[in-house]
Amino acid sequence: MSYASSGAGSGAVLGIVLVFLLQQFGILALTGILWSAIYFAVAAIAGGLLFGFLARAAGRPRPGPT
Amino acid sequence: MSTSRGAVRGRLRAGATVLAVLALALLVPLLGGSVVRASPAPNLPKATGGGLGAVVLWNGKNVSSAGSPSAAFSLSKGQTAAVTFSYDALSTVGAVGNATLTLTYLGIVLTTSRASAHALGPSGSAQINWSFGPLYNALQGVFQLTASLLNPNGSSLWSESFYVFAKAPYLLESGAVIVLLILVVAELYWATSAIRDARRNRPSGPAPAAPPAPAATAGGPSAAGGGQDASASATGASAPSAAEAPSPSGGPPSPPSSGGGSS
Repeated sequence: MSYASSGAGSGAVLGIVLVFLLQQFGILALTGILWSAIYFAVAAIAGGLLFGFLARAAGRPRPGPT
Repeated sequence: MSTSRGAVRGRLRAGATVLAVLALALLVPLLGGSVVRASPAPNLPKATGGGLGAVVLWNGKNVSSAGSPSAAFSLSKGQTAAVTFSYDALSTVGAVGNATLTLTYLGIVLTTSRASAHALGPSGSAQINWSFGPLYNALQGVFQLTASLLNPNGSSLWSESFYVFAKAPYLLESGAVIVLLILVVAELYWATSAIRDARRNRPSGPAPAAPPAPAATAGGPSAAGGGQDASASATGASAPSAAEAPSPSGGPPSPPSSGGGSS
């Protein structure tokens, strides 16, 4: 569980940073504070879920020896 | 006869003279009017129904052409843009007190530039030499600029938004980009290390969904209640056989290791 939570934390930060970078490079053009907040929240949740599930799947026990 | 002819000629001359004077009197204002109409600056707007007409030029280009982020004006490091406000206000609107340029990033106001006070008046123009300033070292990207005309009380009479793309050389020489890239590398490292550790330390053997025998021997696998027990009884329908056959992970019938000393 700790692997999943640490992966989710890193993924959430990565999502936020990705939105910032896209804005910096001019690919995204967020001008309103509401839409900016929505984009940041969605990116953080998506990144957290993605990396959290990845870490959780990686930490799952292997199938036993046959 | 000759006197009558002379009188007629005199009258004709007088009539022609009067006609010429009248024609001149009519033509001069018309000519003058056409000159006056052609003289105003081509950028000076006309006051419309709202009472104020205004045009803002960014280095000579109308800012309405940069009304979307994809059509943003480009601004490089160290460049200064001449932003010219031309306005024409009806008397009902009153005088224009200030011309301002407001820079917003992600909806947050970063800077506000004001035209000098000599721009006051019902019609005229004002100019702001706008540059990104020290913000260039920290930020780049698409920014929204709002050009506004305010009355002396500070309330907005007119405003128009447009976009500016402030571009650092190679898109990298900006503090925020460098910090963000370092954060991306660090977070990717942490995330992959968490995944790697999870993979390395994951237990081998079946998932702990199948509880060992004691629950079954206690009498009634579902008696304890709870989702896990229910699932365990559902998956391991042969609970008694599981109790008989030791699971590979648990190693139940191992001899008591306490007494198994080396000597």
